[in-house]
Amino acid sequence: MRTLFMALLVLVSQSTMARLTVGVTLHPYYSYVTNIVGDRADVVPLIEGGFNPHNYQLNPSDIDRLFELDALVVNGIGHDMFATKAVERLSPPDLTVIYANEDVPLIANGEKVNPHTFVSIDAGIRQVYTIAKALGKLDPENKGYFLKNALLYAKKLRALKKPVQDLLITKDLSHIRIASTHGAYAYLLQEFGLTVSAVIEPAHGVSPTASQLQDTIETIKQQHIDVLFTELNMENRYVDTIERETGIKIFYFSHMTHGQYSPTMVEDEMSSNLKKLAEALGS
Amino acid sequence: MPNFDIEIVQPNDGRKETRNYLITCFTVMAIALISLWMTIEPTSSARIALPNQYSNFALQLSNTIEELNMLEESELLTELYSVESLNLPQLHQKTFLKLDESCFVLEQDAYAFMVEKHDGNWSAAWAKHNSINDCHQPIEWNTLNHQESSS
Repeated sequence: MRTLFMALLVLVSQSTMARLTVGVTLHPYYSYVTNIVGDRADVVPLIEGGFNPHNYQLNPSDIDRLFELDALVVNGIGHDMFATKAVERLSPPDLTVIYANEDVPLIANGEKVNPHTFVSIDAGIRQVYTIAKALGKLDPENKGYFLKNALLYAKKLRALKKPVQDLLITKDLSHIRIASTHGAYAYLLQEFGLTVSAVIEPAHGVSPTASQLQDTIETIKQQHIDVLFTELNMENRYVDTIERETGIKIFYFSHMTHGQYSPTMVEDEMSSNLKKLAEALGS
Repeated sequence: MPNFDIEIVQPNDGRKETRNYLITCFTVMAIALISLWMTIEPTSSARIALPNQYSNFALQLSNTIEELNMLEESELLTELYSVESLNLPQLHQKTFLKLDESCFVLEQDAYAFMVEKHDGNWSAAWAKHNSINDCHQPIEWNTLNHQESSS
């Protein structure tokens, strides 16, 4: 009886030890990874929700958490440098860093790339596949399960686009000109054949100076920009000035890096973004 | 008799010190420049990048390739490959053309996209080229996520 009990104990502890602890740096990656791993791994945000990832610095408890991870999923192209720099500096042993954007065709932004691949369906799916494959290498027993979940999740994400695609089939969008306060929406908009004619903020969360604002107002007028997409969770008082001076229509998108981490966050907020997009294009 | 020869000591005009100082300055600057040059990563020779207008098509294609490989691994793809059975995306209503059993090409303006199955794996690439006759045409093929510079 004791032998049986000890054998059971060993089996249970082995299965517990084999279970991956996967860290994520941004809210969308929490959604991606939880949908991939289901109940066969633990998903841990590296930092608490409610912080601006652009200017965050890891605190001691974040660093402790980092050292407890088997894998860390990162954006790796400029949106989570608080994490990538820390990993470079601290080099936690036994940590596998999964670069979610490794296989994503990126949009060039001058000499850099636009890091907002997570505010997108197609680029999101690409990252889901990259993450699932990488996790499958770390946990070969669950590789098939992770990949199957990734395919199902991709199907769910693609289905979110359908209402907007149906709307656009009958619409001529060639005349619509778009501006955004932040360069976060390029990947999403390009999925519908749209490009951003002007980006207003010099950096995320940084309001333009008075002369920059004046230049922006002039650009909007000269380029006959119809729609301005701005960020839902950011106070942008200058947006009211732009609306007043130009008569432009303003719509609010989620940047998808705020609030609580949730497995359904990407579906919920992307669904809302797509509704706003349909509203903007249909107006 | 005392020696009244007077040793004439030329005034020190500082030329030697000035020369040594300048040599030291130039040496330090040269070492600094060489050190800086050595820390700068060599830029790769001029590489072309896929224009942003094709970025979403490249994304869709990349997703499709990944899905094909997953289906192949699960033995869910039949060997009679066609544009429709592979669900290859369109570009401005243009579809891929089948060049042979496992080679598909789409040309748009000055760019070509290629999808092929090789050694059991599906892959895709693009090139700045027209008139593609073969997936192994000896031109410069680039991966879909090819970038000129990192962020």
